[in-house]
Amino acid sequence: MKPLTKTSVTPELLEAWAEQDHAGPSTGAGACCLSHQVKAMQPKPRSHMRLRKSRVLPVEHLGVAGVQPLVEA
Amino acid sequence: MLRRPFLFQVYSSNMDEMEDVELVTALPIPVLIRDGATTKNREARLRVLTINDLPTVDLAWKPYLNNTVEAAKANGVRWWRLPQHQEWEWGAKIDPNFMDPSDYLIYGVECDGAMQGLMIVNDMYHALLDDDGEIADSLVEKPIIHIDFLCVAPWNLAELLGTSGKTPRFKSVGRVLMQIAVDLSFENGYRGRVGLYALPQAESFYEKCGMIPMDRECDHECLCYYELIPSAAEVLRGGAK
Repeated sequence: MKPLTKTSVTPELLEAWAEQDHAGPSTGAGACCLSHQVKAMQPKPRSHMRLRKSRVLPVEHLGVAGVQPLVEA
Repeated sequence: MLRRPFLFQVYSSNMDEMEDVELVTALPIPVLIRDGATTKNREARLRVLTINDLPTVDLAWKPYLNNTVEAAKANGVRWWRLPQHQEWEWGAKIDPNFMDPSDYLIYGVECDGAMQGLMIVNDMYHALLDDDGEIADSLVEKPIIHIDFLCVAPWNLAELLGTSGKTPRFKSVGRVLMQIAVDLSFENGYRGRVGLYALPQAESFYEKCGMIPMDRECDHECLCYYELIPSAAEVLRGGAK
């Protein structure tokens, strides 16, 4: 995979953001985003976040935290 | 795991053999932000930081933030208008005793020799919404860039500085960081999907970015979860063309 080598931030985009800020908070990120804002008026019910990978650290990290890892008999 | 720009060989801890270690020391990427006083565009640098850099940011930001908050209080500004992130300690955000630092990327926007904004992201979660913005009911893999923390430097906080008649040094730093997250999502093949829990003061900002809110969750401090779906991400990216 390629690393992030450049950004899509352009002078035109900065100008658009500045105009948007002048116009007030209700105009959104350009007209194209207005449809999303309408959706945003009604928060959606949600389920719990699903982790893609385990947050459990390897056993050797446990010693660092001062917690003794369990050792199987 | 998020991809890393470079892979370095360093000595392992017992110093008797070399091992590959992913050091987060990418070359800075030029990025534009807007000067608050002149409203001219300025070239800043987007840097990938390590957790060792974070306490330095606290040292630079905390005194200014505390002084400005105290001045605002003295001016009669009520507590609900003060920054809700004022207690954040960046140096404590990624604790290597309990978290694996390689799961996270830390981006900082640097200009005039100081960090103007900071963002911590990971890619450990699935998206909750499908491409139409509805709650996904399938278990199809939909990885997402999750923003753990995003904040601009205290001298760029327009709302707070406005209470004492000051103008921010730089503008659009938060928007730039959000755009970076979207870029990162596209680069990683996540089709622009970005998710985060927003502080109430920042909710309108993320709605302006086209993110869709979901119910507040008590086990996340009752913060509202926001998600950017691919079509909205394309709009943000398209705006850059």
